[in-house]
Amino acid sequence: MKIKDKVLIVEDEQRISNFISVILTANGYDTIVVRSGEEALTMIASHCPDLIVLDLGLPDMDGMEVLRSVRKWSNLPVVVVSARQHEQDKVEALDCGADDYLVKPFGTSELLARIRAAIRHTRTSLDNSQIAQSGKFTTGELTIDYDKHQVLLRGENAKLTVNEYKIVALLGKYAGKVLTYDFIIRELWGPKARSDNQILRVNMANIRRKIEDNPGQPQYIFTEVGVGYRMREGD
Amino acid sequence: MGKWQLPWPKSWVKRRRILIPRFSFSVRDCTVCFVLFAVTALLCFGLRHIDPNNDTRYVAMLFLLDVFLTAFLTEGYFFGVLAAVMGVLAVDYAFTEPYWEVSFVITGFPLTFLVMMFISVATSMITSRARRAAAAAREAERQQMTANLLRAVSHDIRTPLTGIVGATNVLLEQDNLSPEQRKGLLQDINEDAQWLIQVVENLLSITRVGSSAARLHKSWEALEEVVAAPVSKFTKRHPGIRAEVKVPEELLMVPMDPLLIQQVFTNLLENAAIHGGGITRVTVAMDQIQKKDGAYARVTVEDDGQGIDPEKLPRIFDGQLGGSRGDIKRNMGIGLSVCRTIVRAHGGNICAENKPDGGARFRVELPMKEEEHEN
Repeated sequence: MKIKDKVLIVEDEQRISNFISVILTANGYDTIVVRSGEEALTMIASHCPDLIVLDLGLPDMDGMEVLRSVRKWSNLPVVVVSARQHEQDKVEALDCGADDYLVKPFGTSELLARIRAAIRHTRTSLDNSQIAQSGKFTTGELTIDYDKHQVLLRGENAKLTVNEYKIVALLGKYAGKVLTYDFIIRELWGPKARSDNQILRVNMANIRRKIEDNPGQPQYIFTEVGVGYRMREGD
Repeated sequence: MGKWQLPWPKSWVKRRRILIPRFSFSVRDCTVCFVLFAVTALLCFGLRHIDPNNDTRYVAMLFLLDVFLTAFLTEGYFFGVLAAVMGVLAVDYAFTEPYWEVSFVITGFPLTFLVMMFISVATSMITSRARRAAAAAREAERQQMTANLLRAVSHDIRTPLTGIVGATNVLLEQDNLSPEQRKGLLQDINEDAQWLIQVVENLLSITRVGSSAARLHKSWEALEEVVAAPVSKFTKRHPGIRAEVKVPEELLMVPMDPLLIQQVFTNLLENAAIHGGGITRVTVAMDQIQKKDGAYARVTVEDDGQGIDPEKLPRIFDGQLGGSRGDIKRNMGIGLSVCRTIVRAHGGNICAENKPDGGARFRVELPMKEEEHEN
């Protein structure tokens, strides 16, 4: 028998936790529902869930506090669902270690996709398993060859510059996950780099002109406006 | 226990409310007052050193100018009056014989003082009246806009809610529905709810424009990235309509609030789908144009539908579309008026026209330069 992944749903609004719980159960997860931050912290310690779906607006404390205290001792994936749609809130949650951020209202298929991605990332200790095994990452007609430092589109070299390759390689490593501008800049140019994302935008525009059929309707690298970039999930 | 009473008569409260703003103290006004005074005094000293005849008639004139400017540039009466007092004392103390002594002996001293006071009070009165009138006009305009918006919104909310309540009632009360009927009703409910989400997003946009009062929270964004998300959302919602984006070779960076600009394109696309009259494709093209006051990024949204009723065209962004017959169809009036509010807040333009070969065309132009004097 396959052991089911256990998802802890932290949400005070019963209707929302209900439908999340139903859809997750139907898709082969075990669910536990709690309504407050205090309960959530106890349950996380006692039940060791495989993933947390965390609402930020909780009755007893801010969801961000739950996230911070979890991150002190665990890498357990956390998907934030929140009605706060401001870019600043997303960036803050992602920088605090949230694996993903969904703004309410969201569709069920989107939630499931994000949960799958978040669990997979943690399983493979943040490294993409596909990359670990073959040294390559493939999604659609795009392949990142980590050994040869090349990006191939339909088998042909896309001729990226060094910086462009580094950005794509980083996004590929965390495919499916939003990487914030600051995170990408720190990873590429070191912690002291100016967090000026102009250069990053220009690089991204060039990358898109090389790997996307239409840079205005990207298929591989998506923009989370005001927050960062996300690479399409691997095959 | 008796009713809690104010420790002072009620009439005081009223009067205090009027008095406080007039004698309001601000660092800025204080600085203005003293800087002007210092400049005037220095100018007088300078002139005295240059002038060999030791003629000091201009001193009173200069201080009069100081009083006028202070009263004009500061809020309320306080600093104007203060400047008048300081001016008279300075004229007496430093610029009239005997120097460096307050003597109250110049001829016409009381007259100088009275004239300065009069100038100060009159100027303050006139400027504050003009300010109040301007504020009242702005407030009236804002209220008008809010009223229009509320009317449009209540309509935009009521229609889908009626649909949802109706469909759920049917589902709860009728047991003999076929699976297809049930599914159809549920789909309608889902669509109505999606519509409500749109309305709420628009309302949020309005508060986002309004709450930042003077300035939007702008950052430099790549236009193609900002446009991509609304287009891909649109393709998911309307798989039957082909959406196409045309991106220029060079990257267009534009200062903007990206969430608000996304709302503009979401609304324009939704508008095309709902009011376009059976459109099959919509194109979003970006380019850069040069105008008298600088470079603008232009986005053109075109569809192949029936176009816009020429009668409605001039007022399409006013938020009152449908008006008397508004209950016929879902009203996108609020969506387009939100578009205009957002684009204007960015210092840009939005316009609509019918293409000669059929279909509607909307153009959004955003300045590619940060404006400095935006209020």
